[in-house]
Amino acid sequence: MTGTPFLEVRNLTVEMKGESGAIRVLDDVSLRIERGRTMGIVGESGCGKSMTALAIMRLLPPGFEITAGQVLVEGEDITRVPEARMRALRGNDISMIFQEPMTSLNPVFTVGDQIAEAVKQHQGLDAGAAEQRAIEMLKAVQIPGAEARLHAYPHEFSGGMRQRVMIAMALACQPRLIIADEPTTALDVTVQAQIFALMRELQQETGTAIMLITHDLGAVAELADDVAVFYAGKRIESGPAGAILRHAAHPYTSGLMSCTPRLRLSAAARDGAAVLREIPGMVPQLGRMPQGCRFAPRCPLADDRCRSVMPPDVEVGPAHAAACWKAETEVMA
Amino acid sequence: MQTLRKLTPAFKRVLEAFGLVMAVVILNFLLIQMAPGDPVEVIVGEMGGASEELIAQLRQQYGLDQPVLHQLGIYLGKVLTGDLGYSYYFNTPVLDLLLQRVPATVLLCLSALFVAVLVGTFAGAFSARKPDGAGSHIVTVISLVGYSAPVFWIGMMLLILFASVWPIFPVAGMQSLRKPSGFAYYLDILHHLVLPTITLAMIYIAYYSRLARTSMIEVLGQDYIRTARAKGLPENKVIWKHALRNGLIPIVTMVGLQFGQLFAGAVLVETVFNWPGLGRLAYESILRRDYPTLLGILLFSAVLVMIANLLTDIAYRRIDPRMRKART
Amino acid sequence: MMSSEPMQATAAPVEAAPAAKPDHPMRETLKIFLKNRSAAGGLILLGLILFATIFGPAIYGVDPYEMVWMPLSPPGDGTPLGTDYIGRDILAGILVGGRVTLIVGAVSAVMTIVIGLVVGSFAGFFGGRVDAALMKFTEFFQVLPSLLLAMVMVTIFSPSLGTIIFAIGIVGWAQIARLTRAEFMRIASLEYVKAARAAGARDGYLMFRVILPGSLPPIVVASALVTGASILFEAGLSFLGLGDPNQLSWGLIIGQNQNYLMDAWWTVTCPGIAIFLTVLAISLIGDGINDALNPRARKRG
Repeated sequence: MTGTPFLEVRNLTVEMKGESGAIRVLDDVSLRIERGRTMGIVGESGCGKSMTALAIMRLLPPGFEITAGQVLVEGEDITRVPEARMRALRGNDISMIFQEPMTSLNPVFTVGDQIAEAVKQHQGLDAGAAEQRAIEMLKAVQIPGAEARLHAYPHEFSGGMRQRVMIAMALACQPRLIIADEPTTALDVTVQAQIFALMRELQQETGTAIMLITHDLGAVAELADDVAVFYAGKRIESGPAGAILRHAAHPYTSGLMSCTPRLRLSAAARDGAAVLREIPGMVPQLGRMPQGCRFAPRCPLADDRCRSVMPPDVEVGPAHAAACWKAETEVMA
Repeated sequence: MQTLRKLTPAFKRVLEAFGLVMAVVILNFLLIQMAPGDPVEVIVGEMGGASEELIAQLRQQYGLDQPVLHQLGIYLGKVLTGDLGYSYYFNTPVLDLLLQRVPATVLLCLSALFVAVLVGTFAGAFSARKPDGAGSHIVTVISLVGYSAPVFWIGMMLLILFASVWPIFPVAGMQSLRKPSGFAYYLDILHHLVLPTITLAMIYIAYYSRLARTSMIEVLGQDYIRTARAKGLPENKVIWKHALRNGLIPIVTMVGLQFGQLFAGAVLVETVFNWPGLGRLAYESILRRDYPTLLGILLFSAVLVMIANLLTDIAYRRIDPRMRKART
Repeated sequence: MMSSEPMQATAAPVEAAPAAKPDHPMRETLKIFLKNRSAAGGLILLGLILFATIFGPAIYGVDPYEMVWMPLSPPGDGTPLGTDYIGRDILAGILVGGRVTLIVGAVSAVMTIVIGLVVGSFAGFFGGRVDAALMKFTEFFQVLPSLLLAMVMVTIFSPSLGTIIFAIGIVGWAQIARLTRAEFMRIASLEYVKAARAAGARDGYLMFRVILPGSLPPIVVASALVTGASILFEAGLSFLGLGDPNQLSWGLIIGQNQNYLMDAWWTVTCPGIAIFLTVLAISLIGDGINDALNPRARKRG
């Protein structure tokens, strides 16, 4: 992978200004998202993966702030550009699909209106052309009877259909990156599969890059080309999906995988032994982070160095890095 | 069948509204019955030149020697046929008197409502953008004052201010003594309308600005606002299109519920500004103990409230599509 | 323990702000209340007003019903706040008139709150048809112009303190009833109420010993608003000449002098300020209680 990636996040740090000082919710995170590829961002709730997405969009909730680092879109650092430039990017070059299709659509406007809006905003189409585009988009996300449904309101759609509308909205301006923040968490399992299939299909047609945020490693295995694993506000491992799924370098990543039934089965088949593992203990509270590696208190391999010094990113394979003192030895072994 | 089902909710609303009016009619009847002394006194009013013959005639007309239920029947019959009694003080049938005064009150109430919703919503929405900013504090202070000051007193303070200090608005009545003609006629009324409208709107500006602020702060925290921003919409569109339409919903609900109180406020404002509406009439009938007129006004107020409720119901359905019947 | 739904127990970042260790809830509430400057201001203001109306007339010593000076003489010219159209001392009138205003306001507010509580709790507790019927009844009182209804009642039943209190109390309770009902419905579905019910508690016990205490906070806040509204209501009725004609009240002073307001602004301005400050004090206290009971509301509105 050479040249500038579409999106590069460099040493991004986000803090929440609270009454008792600033709390770091995202610490020194770096990522590269290549054109046309899918990056899976994995981690538990609260590990900072959604914060990363909102920081890239510069839509952090009030009180949260980017305090260090850069977000480069084709080399342009968007953490410092004026709001107007940011608006031109949002929905046009980078768009976002949110976790809650039930509440992410405005209940008082028709879905057609909400899809056409972005097109009018960014591409200056007139009302008729924008509506035409909205119909095309509804067809693209396979909503039956697109022309009629254009004038329907969100409450007249099921959850899965609403998420399709969200996808249609995100794709309307043919963005080069779609950030999908747990797009299927709120949906039934069968609907999840349909939505993923749809996203994969649309990606093949449009060549957009996808940043898929999820806590479901199964989804990552299915969709992602690259993977980044987050733990307690830090990106602790990243690399090609295949490499990570086969040889997780960070003990947390392997712990996470052994908790995912589908993957555990394949791992068991490979190793010839079903090892049912779990990660003991709890994620440390933000603002009360341990001094060294954040995973050390729960890590079976942790020693004194892990508990006192934060491990740096270590190259463990081609484009595969992990922030763990033990990573190297594990891969070698 | 399809149209019948479509009609049903609206029909139900109309029935409910009618029920409200009937309840007021019955309440009026009960008040007449429970009043100390002879019901005839209430029916005639103290100013009535109630001769023996008239009293006997009314006694017979209202069936006052009959059982109470029978009397209620007679009373309902009279009201439903538009017979609200006779005002001996004004020497006019009550219905005619009321119909004469309704337009002025409706004009005052609607213009106050318009100003209050407009100013209140904008002030609230503006201050909601920065919940801890100066604008928010101003809204809080204004709404505290608006809540706490008696409306008739605000009116009087405006009277003093505009009569002696800065005489740019007429301070009493609805028209100049020499009525201009043509377009100027309406301008003249509008000119007279300014102070009473501001006075009556004041409480509701206080109310709606606070309500709009709370509602907009809540709406601005919703997921769909984040979606709108993620689309790259300019902040103005996010607030005045996506947020405002949702933020208006509780305000419209309140307008319907509060119309009666608005009318009650109009009674005080009309009294202060000599505005020739139902409120001023109520004040005059209190002074003359003109009970038939007073009861008639109560009934009319119920009718006005009912109409206002039906209208806000329609507005509500227009603003919030979830309230309409789902298309299939 | 990690399962297929990994570690949902951890807090999302927004909630992760370490909460200060809470005091006893009541003391905490009281502390926030007193720290709130406007609430403390309201409390002091109300204290001063109560002091003035209770002890003021004795200290000032001027008979408010007697002509003591030239009619309509301005403030400072013989009397501190001027005289009214028949030469009575405005300050003396305000000091004495406050008693009627405050007593009527307070008693009718209590009546309003009690009616609202009873109707609302029955509707909320029993639900179903009881609820539907009571709520129709409540809606009737909510949408009618309450001042007009009170005017009609007072006119027909002749103005006296009792009638006025009754009229105000009977027309203003709808809001309290709706609030109580909503709170009752919310709390009745909580676990501890279900547990008490399962343990065989009787309806009366459940309503007034189990559910009512939990539903009080928002009702207390609304009660402050209702008290302010009752005082404004009394002022409105007295202004229209529907107060007890034999007893001075702030509204009555304004009403009696309204024909002279162009020549003698002080006759209506001063009693009006008294009403305004009293209601303002109560509103501030209500706001303070609201903030104290519900600290999040401060930031949100």
